[in-house]
Amino acid sequence: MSPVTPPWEKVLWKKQPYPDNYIPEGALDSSLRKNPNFKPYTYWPLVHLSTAITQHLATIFIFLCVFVRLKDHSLDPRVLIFLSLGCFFLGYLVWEVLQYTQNLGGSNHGNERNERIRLDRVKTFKSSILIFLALMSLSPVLRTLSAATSSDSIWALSACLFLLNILLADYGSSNPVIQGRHERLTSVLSMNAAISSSVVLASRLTNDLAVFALIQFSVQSFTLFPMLRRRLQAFSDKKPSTQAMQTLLTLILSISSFLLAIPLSSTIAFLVLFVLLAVTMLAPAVLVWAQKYKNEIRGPWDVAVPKLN
Amino acid sequence: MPASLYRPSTTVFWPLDCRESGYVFGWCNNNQRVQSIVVTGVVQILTLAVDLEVRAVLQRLNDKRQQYACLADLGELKILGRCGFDYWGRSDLVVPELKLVDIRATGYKIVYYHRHPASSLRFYSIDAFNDIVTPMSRQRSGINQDVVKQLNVASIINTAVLEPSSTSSVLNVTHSSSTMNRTTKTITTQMSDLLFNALLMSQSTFSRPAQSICNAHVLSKFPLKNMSLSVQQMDVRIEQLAILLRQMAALRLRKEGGRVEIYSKEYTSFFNTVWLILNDITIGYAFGRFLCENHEVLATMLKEFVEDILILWPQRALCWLDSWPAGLKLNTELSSFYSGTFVDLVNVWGGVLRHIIFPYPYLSNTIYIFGLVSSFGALIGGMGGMTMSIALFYDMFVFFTLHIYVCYVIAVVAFEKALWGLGSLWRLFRGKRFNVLRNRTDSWEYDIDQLLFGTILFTLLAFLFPTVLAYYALFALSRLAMILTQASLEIQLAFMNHFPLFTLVLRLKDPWRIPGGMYFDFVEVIVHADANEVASAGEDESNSNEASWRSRRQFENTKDPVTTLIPVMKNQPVTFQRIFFQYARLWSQLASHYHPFRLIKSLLLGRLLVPIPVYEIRYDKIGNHSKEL
Repeated sequence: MSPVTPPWEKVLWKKQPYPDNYIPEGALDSSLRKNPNFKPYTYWPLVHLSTAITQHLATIFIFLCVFVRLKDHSLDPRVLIFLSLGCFFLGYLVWEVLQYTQNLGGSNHGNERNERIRLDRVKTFKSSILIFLALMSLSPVLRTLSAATSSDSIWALSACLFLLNILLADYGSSNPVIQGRHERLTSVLSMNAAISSSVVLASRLTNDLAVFALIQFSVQSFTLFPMLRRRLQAFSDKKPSTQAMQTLLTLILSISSFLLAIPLSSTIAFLVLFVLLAVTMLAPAVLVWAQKYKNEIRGPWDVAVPKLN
Repeated sequence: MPASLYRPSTTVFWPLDCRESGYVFGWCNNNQRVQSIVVTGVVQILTLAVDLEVRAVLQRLNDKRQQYACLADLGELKILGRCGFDYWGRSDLVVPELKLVDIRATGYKIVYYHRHPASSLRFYSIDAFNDIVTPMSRQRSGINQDVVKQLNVASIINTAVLEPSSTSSVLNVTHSSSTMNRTTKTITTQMSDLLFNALLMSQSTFSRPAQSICNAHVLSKFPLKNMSLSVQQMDVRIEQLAILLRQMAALRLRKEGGRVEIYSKEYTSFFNTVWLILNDITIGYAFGRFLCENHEVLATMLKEFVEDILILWPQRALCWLDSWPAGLKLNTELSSFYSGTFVDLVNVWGGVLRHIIFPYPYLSNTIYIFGLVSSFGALIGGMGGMTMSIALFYDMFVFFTLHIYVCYVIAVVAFEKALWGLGSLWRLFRGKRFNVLRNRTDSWEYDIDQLLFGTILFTLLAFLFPTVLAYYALFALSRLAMILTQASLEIQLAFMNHFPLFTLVLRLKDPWRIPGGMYFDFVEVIVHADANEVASAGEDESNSNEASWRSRRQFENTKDPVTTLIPVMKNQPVTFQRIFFQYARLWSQLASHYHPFRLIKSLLLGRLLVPIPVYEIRYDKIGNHSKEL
């Protein structure tokens, strides 16, 4: 019955005159924190980030348009082959430029890095030759793969696989400089799904050369192009002044997909445009609007989150 | 616990058919707790000379204990005491009043037993294999192996003692005496001599070349025995004949004072084999005549059957598969390739058959030869008969369906590779790899070209898989049918070769010759009550088959007769489970090999289906060596 009881402290190594399960008034309310680590999204950075998704979608739409044209025989397969070869070399050039700028900016490790770069080049060369030859030899087989299946099941199968690809793709930017590591494919399943989808679609074509062209184009757009995109994104994230490059790329891709789709069917073209706009503009707006419903409560029961400055 | 457990007790085993008064002789076994006295017989000793003679005979028997196998390991024969019978009333059976020397306890229990004559081939046996009788109860009743041996030998010893002049010949009981003392030979003796000589001759002529065929190796790696059932059958038959010869020699020269148990068992097994072989030859003769008379008709029928079912049907089925069977759309190129290959294979084999086998008169002549082999099997060293014809038909069946086997092997290999490739590429599709060191699936970083190539191949395989599956299913099902036919033929052969026919018939006719244990039955006996003798009252479990015996005595000095129950020891015939225990093992082996789940699993995983290897269902692998009944 002491007149003044010392204030209750939340320590266990002191003997206090309070019972063990004592909680002072208002302690729970004060220790609850709402949305403590909340950094609200802002609109334009979100739009900028969602351009990655837009680019991916645009690539898929371009591929589909190319396929339809090949099927209608309105596009000559040889033109496609040359075009994709040109794109391949262009992309490789951009890659080399990016790597060069990185080398300049980063620390010098001299010979070791040169060695690695040369090895990478040899490996790339070997891979591309291998893929080229393999595709060439397999295309007659692939042409008659699904001759007996009806077209509708093929469209359905392809749609499912592309959906899988979109859902599982990696839209972040990869850390470009990992010591001693080559560029990593972070989502193997999505890439495999895209490749199988294109193989399945290619089996609808009637010409061996067309099959080869289509699969080569798909390999390029779903395997190599995403790598380049990620590189570019990482590059532009590090140097904010080059952010315009990202937007430029997005615009180019979207507009080309729209333009390619118009001659085929205007409904589809507008649908494509609508989807792209929705993903780029509408979705971030919705996300920002939904922020106000965010209600994360943290209390004394949570694991402590260290604050690192 | 009843107090009788600690009190030493005595059991007296009395022969059921012995009703004279006189001096009792037999064995006295002093076990731990129970003293068992086995009475072999009763001898009337009226004069001193007889007494001396009896004692001399007993001494001679005891001295020659090592010589006579039936007396080995047993105790010493001696005169145990006196007995007296009181006839009272109508009952035939009476309890003897014994005045025995060397009796340990104050009282004794009497157990009757049957004293089997040696020529009846009956004997007692404690079944050593299923230990239903616990050691405890055995100890309390005083029955053990020695006592049983003594019971078996009792009759011989009794005759030996009662007629001392014929001691040596009595101990030499044989069925067909081959001693030169006998001047007259009976008919059975002559026949057995003839049979023996015939077997000996046939074995010496035929067994050597036949054995060399049986043990030959194809390509010096595969034994011919395992590839052809006929050769295997020949081998089995030669082995059987060799065993027969050995057994016959042993049986004819029955050793001096041999044991009844061994003789009886060998007798049973010998005649079982002989009967089976005779059956075989007889049925084979009938079947062989049938084959020989109808060989041309049978050949035509066989030709039609093979043409229709084995050549045309697969071709038709393959063509059906090639053209969208049941609406399934198979890959056209692969399907046409497959069906073309298989149809060509079947055609090749059909051509071989048509040009080499079927032209008249090869096939009919072959059937005629089969018939000859079947009928006159006895003349070719006992190797023919029904079993041989079954084996020959089995081999013919295998020969005719060789093309299906080859097609099946091709289909199975393709299917298994496709399945394996599909599994591996599916893991690649998901970005995982099978870690052999840890036997699990781990994620793994593949190179880009590996991924691309793998994905394209995976799609390819996934589309081609239904075609491979369809063709595999066709041949797998036909192979399954083939194997089931082969299995049924093999089972038939196994039954004809080793069926315990003799034992079964003995079971019906004279179950006491195949004992598998003992049990106690009770007889009512009228006993003259006497103040001196007591029978210990108590609860005892002598055998699991009996509940308890109670033998009450009344200590009244009246001469009223009392009815008691005395146990009689009887033979329990061996159980059917014991007779067929090898068949149980054979069945379990067959069931495990041909189990439907195992077959289905092999089918689904693409493993090769094989019929059970022939050496696994041979009789001696199942355990012939112990010479079971």
